[in-house]
Amino acid sequence: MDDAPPGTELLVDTGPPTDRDTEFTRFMTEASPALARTAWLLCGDVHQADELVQQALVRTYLAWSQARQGDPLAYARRTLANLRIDTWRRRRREVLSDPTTLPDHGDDRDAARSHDRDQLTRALALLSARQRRVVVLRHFVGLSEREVADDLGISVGTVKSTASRALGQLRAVLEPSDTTTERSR
Amino acid sequence: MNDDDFLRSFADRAVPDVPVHTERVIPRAHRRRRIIRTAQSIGVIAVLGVVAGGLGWAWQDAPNPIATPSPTSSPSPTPTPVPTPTHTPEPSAVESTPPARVSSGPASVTADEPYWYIRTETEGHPPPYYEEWTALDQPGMSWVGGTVESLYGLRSVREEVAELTDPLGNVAITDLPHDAQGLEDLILQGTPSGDDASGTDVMMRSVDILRLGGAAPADLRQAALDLLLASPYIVTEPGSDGVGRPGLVLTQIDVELPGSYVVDPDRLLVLQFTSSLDDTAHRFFGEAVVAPPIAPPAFGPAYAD
Repeated sequence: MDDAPPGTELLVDTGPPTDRDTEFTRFMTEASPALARTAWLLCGDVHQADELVQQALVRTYLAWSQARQGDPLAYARRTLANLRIDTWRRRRREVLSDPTTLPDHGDDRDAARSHDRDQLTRALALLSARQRRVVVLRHFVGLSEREVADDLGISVGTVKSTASRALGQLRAVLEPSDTTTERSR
Repeated sequence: MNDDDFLRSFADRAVPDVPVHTERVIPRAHRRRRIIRTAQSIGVIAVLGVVAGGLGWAWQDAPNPIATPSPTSSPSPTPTPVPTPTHTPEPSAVESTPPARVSSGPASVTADEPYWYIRTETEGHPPPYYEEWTALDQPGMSWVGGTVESLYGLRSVREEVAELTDPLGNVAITDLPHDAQGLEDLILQGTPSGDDASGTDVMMRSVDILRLGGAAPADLRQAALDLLLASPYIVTEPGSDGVGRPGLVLTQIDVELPGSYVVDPDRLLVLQFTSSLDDTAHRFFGEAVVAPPIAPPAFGPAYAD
């Protein structure tokens, strides 16, 4: 699995970058915003999202010669989506971000944004880990059902049924009760 | 507006900027590769030693700080813990005194007390604590504090197992292998690459099983502990948690997910997790209870997939 070119095992952290490092750094710069958004949707926490993206990028780097032959962003995203979230770190963050302890926001726009974020966090938290992965990749990232199935190693039928159930739950939490907008699937 | 447009529009408003520390990635990758190679080298040396000498002592006596049997070998018996405090807490860091319990075999839920309750206390942080109620066949709850408003979500063992075996699909917890080798094989099937070069996946999923506490079958938790004790990425020594509960201190030497756990090998419970990233200890106090203090709200069966 380790496909490092000869000699790279002797690299030290502060050493000069190799061509591989330069190329990967360029990839990271371009890919990290999209990965970070996906990561946040999966875990609902900025610090945890940073850690998840770093882990996914580390694994992508270790398999870089394989990843760069195809779509490296897709490789990194697939790795990210399959990472097991460290639940204890996640729970600690939850304690720290208990919404009842958050300070008031002075600006209306900030307050609205904070409200939306809290609502989305709570809605996603009500989903199981699998439902969250499916709905994030399918509906927030915009992958096809086949792509989601491939990324997560599950059947297309499971993607469909899981997404359908998860969407229903998300709608119930995110939509105002007086909304009458007809939504298509 | 269809569902996708609605959700993406909502996400555009709600998702915060996430600063990613990309400068840490390549150094971490280099360190991880060195660890993998070191572990592989140790494995080769150990195998050569066994072959050359024809004796098992070559493995045991090798001057190797991570010398424990391979996960594929039979796990060694659980060592008898000799309490040696590894951490003397500052008085202000200890939020509460744990209930005095006598170690008397694996802790488990019963027909009369079907919920496993865990309170998580984070060192240096005052209440509200994180609390959760988990049951094998019934929905439980996770919340911060003790009010419905701070409820964070529903949990069940079924969800934990679906996560554990993801992407294999749903497997009933009673169908999980209750031996270390079978459990390791199942976990490896669920990893994206089909292997676990750094030992991270086997380690984390084994801890997750132990983390289910008394809601999971005792022999399953024993298999998970056996896997941890056999991991070449974990150093084990007797010790205790920050409030003096004796156990085995399992220290991860994979720098990607550094940290240590204190596990009670008799009751098969995780007592404490300490992250090496910030040296913060999270302590867990678990017991079987009749039910959560309030009925789970009707948010829908999030756990029933």
